[in-house]
Amino acid sequence: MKSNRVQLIERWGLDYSIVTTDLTTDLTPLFNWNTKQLFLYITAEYVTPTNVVNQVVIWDKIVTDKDMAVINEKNIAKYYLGGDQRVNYKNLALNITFNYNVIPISGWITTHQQGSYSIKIPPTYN
Amino acid sequence: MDYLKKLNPFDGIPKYQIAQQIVNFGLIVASALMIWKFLMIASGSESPVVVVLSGSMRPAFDRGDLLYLDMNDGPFRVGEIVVFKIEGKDIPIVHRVLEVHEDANGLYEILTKGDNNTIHDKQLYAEGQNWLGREHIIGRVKGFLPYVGMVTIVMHDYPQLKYLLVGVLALFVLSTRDN
Repeated sequence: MKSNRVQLIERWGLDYSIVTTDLTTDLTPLFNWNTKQLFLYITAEYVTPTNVVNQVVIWDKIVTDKDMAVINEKNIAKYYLGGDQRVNYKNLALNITFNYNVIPISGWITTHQQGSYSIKIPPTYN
Repeated sequence: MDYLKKLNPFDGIPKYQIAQQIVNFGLIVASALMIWKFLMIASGSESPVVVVLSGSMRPAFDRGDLLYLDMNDGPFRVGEIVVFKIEGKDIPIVHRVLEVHEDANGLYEILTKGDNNTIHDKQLYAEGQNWLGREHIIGRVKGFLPYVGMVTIVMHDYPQLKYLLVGVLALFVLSTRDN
């Protein structure tokens, strides 16, 4: 997983950020007789003066087929973060992680993390 | 009258045995209750087992799937599937956590979304409510059994069936002869 682009934009007087990522991974080994689906998600995590933990999912994808489990995505972003007037998004440090959870046909659901990077939202609108 | 006697399942069973069967029946009911209460303690959730009623989490969960909930380990994080209740609505909802904000006092602001829905749940929450707090969440989904819950959905849709089933079971237990 690697960073592609981080944008800071302004809409209706509020700041928003769009984090774009490239993701390459092979999740084929996760599929066995008891695998129903994988839920892949990329999370942006940051700290603000009021909150010790902030987590926002910025991209997700459902994989139900073994043949679709080789992931090679460029330039992906699905959900923006921002819009909270208590938070200063300029120069905000983000920790971006890729996670997935495995939903079985029957049994326990498991969650795993694979890869991460750190990045900063730019100080000016771009 | 002889004919009626033959039909009566209690005919020919000594009275003490009937009493014993009633105790047996009580034991079955009590054990079921014990298992439920034990699960409540083990999982830390007020309702440790729920049945999925809608398709908003397709393809992960479908109507009739049985979920095991747990409330014990750790803070709430994105990607988890939680079951929550909205004030004024009876039926709990099973959706995935999309956003978490946790302050220094451990107070949460949580936003959820159904995998099969295109937008998040803010419209689903009570009027004026933007986030879920810990108090709204009944449990997080840990385990999964497909279709088993269909039985309860059918019995909920046709309540007569429920009484029939309980009646037949009770008659069966009470009239079993010990040999």
